[in-house]
Amino acid sequence: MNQRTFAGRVFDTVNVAVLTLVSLATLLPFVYVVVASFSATDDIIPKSFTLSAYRYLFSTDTFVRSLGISIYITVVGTVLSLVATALSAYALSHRKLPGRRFFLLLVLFTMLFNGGMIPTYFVVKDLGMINTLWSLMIPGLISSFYLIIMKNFFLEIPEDLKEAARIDGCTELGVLFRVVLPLSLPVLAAFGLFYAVGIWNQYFNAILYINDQTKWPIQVLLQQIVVLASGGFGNASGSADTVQIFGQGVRMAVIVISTIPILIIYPFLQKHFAKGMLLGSVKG
Amino acid sequence: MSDVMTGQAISEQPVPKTKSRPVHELWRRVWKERWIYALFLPGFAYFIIFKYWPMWGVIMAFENYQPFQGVLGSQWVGLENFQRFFSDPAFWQLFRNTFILAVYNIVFFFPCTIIVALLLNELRIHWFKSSVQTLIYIPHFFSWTVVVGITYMLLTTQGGLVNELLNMVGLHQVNFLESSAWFRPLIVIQDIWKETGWGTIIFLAALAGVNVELYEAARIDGANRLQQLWHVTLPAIRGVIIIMFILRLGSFLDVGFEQIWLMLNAMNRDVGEVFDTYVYTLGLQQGQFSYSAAIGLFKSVVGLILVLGANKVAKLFGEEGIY
Amino acid sequence: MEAKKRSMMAGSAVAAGALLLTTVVSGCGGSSGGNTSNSGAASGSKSQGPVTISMIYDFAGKEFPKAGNEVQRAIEKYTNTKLNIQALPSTTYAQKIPVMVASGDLPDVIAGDPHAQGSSWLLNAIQQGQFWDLTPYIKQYPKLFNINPVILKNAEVNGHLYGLPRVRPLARNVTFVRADWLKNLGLQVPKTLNQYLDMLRKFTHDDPDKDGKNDTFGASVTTAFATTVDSFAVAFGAPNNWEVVNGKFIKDVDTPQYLQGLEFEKKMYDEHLVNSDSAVIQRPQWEGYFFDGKAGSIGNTSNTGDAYLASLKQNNPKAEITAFSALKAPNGKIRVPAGPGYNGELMFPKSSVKTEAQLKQILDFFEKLDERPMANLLAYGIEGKDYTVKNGKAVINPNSDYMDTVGYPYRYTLGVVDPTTYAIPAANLSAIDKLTNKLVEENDKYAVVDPTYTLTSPTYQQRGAQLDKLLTDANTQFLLGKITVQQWKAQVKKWHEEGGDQIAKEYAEAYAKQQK
Repeated sequence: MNQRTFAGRVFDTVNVAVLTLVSLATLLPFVYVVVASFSATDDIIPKSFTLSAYRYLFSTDTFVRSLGISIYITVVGTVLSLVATALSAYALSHRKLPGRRFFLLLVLFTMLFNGGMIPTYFVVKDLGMINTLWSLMIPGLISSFYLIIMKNFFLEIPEDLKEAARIDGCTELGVLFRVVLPLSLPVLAAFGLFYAVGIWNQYFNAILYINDQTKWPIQVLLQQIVVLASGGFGNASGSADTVQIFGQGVRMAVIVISTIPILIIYPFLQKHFAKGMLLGSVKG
Repeated sequence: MSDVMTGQAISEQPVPKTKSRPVHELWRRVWKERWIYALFLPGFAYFIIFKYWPMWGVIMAFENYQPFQGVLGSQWVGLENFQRFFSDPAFWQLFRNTFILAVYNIVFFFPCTIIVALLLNELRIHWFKSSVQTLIYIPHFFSWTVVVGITYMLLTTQGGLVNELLNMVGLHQVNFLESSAWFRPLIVIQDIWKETGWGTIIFLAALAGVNVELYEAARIDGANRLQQLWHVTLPAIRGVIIIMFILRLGSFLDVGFEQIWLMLNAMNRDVGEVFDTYVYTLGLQQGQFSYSAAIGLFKSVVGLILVLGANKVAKLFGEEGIY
Repeated sequence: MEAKKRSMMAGSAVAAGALLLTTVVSGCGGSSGGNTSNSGAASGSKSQGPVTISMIYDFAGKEFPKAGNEVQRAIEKYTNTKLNIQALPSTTYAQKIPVMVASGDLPDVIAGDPHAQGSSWLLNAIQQGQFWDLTPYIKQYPKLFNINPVILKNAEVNGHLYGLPRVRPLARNVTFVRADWLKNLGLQVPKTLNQYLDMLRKFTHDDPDKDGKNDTFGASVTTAFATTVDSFAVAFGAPNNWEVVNGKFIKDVDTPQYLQGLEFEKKMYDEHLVNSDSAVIQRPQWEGYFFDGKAGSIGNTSNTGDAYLASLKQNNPKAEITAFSALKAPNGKIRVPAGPGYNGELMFPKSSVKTEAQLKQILDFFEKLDERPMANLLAYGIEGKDYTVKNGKAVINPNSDYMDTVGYPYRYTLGVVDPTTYAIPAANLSAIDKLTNKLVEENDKYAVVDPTYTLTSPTYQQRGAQLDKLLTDANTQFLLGKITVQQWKAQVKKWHEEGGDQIAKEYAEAYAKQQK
């Protein structure tokens, strides 16, 4: 670090400046949304502060329960997804596996082709998952996209490390959990985050598979508020029976509430991205 | 030099072949890897049950599907839906609009994620780095409704921030939101604003895996920052970049339905109507299940061709590829 | 799968199965004797447990009340039913219902509109006999089918009724105006199109809010919602969408009157009497202009008056509103476009409602909703909480949460005939509600009906959304000055070529068949 050149310092300064601008560009609208959620009026520049939007949301029967359901399916679903994806990715990273290419194509193909909403609904229904929270975790268990990327990350782990572990008497599961996964923490953190956000944000599946309102995750509730407010005029006479029910404050509070919980897990995962763990620790 | 630095896995050992009894030999190899198969079993079952079993829905594209009659009972029409699609007066316009947006996306948006990831990786001040990282990924959580709402507030001719500024400096107002010329730039800017931070995560995860000793070795060799970036960092994440690129091609023609739908209006539809918005109009507003299934299938086939092609090219250049 | 389907049905089948038999015996005997179902069902239900009715419908409120809430309990108790309701926001409803239909998981009652775009599959299902034909039962349920014949006809498919239309006023669009602005400017509520234009000009230029700033405009408009062009065109004498002349179908855009209406509205844009971003804005901004005191008028359905006034007063306690609807054209005539007069139909799939007896039980339920106690409940809410009775009239509690607990979840979704028809009169209807009720009633005289509501055109079903878009886009582009009249006419020609002519032909054929 002491060998820093002049050019290096210029680079650092410019870099900091650029990234500061980038952060501001993303931060300001968010600040606006947060401020608006505490605003009493619909003006662009809020004139007074109120908690009424939040008070309203927390006073509804379903809000807290839906929040609990969302947290539950996000935690359980993410763990299931990560385990299932890691197991498959590890298997498919095994170069000597007969049929590997076939399996990879099998996975890849599903990224491009799907049967569509109606046939998938039949599967969920035939498995008895309609109206259960499983329907929000299992149909999206493995993302082919993430699986393929994770497999490629695993491929970069030197084969001799795994071989050494096998010689030491590890089973394949042992190799995965003792060698591969500890070396892949940044990747697991990243995909864990991807899965968590995916499950947290899912909305349409809940509408489709869950008939019982008491089992709806928070996004259904929140989307309902945002979508309604932006107008769903979907009937024949071209006119809705409604007026705008929610003020801007409630809509903004919805955005804040649906963003914050998933936002706070990021710093916890971030430390894994920051450390050069994958190969650094191999040598260390 | 770069080969050492990428930390590429050891190349595949050719499996020794025995001339006699190939069937037995294959069985022996399969049996040897039985535990690996066992690990793949849950994933395999998942793909068969949830991805392949519903695949019969593709048949809908060749039928005049009616929900009450089901796939088995609906009328078989063969390629009629496809013929109708390719002879649709809107086809070429849709194709052009979708294609241009898709290309813009790959040319402008995709590099942004890599550049920002690299810039972040070069940051030395730890607290600053983690703050920036957290901040730039916030927009990912905003729904398109919100993003489009913010865009509107900035750009509307009815007292929007940007047009007020233009007025103040004595320039004419620009009707950004009702303009064909501004449609594509706005879509790309929104994409970059919303998803760049999120897109960096996978590259940062890859960058975290680069062996720090490689940088030290490079420094000892006298490489400056830029040279380190070029010779150490980039090669280290080249594999991931290529994978991401190939996979992106698979969804090449998915240009983001919700965003475009919300930005679309009578004044920019000539450049803004894409396959996804057209399918939405057809499928949901017209109940044309089969026709929209046919368009979806067309998109999938295009994606398949692009992915297989790109993968082949990547392999020619000695990359890992996706399979 | 079969077993599952059966277990899904269990709720309705097992509970209702045994008692259906007895209702057939006792109840049917009664109703065939000429009695209304009223007494028959009541006597049948006394000896039996409640009938389970499962339903799915679209819902426009913010949050559907929990099962077992006070209102639903009151309905269930009075009608001796157990309601099993799934309510979805209308946008998601449209996506879920085809999936449910395909999977065979339909409840006893679904909401749908066979005449709406995107419902060709529903129409198809009707034609295949998947839904109960209600035509033979109309006479047995006098309260339920007390429906304006025009509306009843609009709801029919090929002369048969397959659902209970949720009745709305025929021509229900009104324009809300700032009464305080009119007063400040010494203006009257406009009665003619020219007075209307004059009002918009003064709202824009003469500082109607007296704040010394040039910060107002005449009307808030959005192309995403109200189709103002069409109502001006109809006022000038153009048909409401289509017109039958000697058995031929003439589209509105082909008449000179339509262009007159379009040019009238273009004046509003050219003179900046309306917001310039009408092609872009969504509902919050569109209504925001009115609520924030920037726009002096806004058009919407007649039942929104109270809510609009409340939102206005939040920002400006001194704001007042009034309303008008039909405007006289320069030729001295008054014409307003009529809607279908209903908002979706409640339909009964034969796959879940298996027997006629079961259907009658469900129709009994809806008939009972029109009896006074239920009509009062749907119209005003819970007595003592949402309203009190004084001298035989309902005194509405202005602070009740009636809309959230009754209005959106039950009244607008389950009510077939407007409940105020059978309820006790209201003592304290708001001024704006009284006015809009009167306007809507008057509109019946001026309403111009769209003859195609009851007709089907396969081409329109297949390509209607794009073809409609072609025309509305051309209108918007013309209004905003992107294209000239010539170019607009070229778009109309394109519409003819790409399917418009075919649609006209198909409508004419369907019409001829209907006339026979």
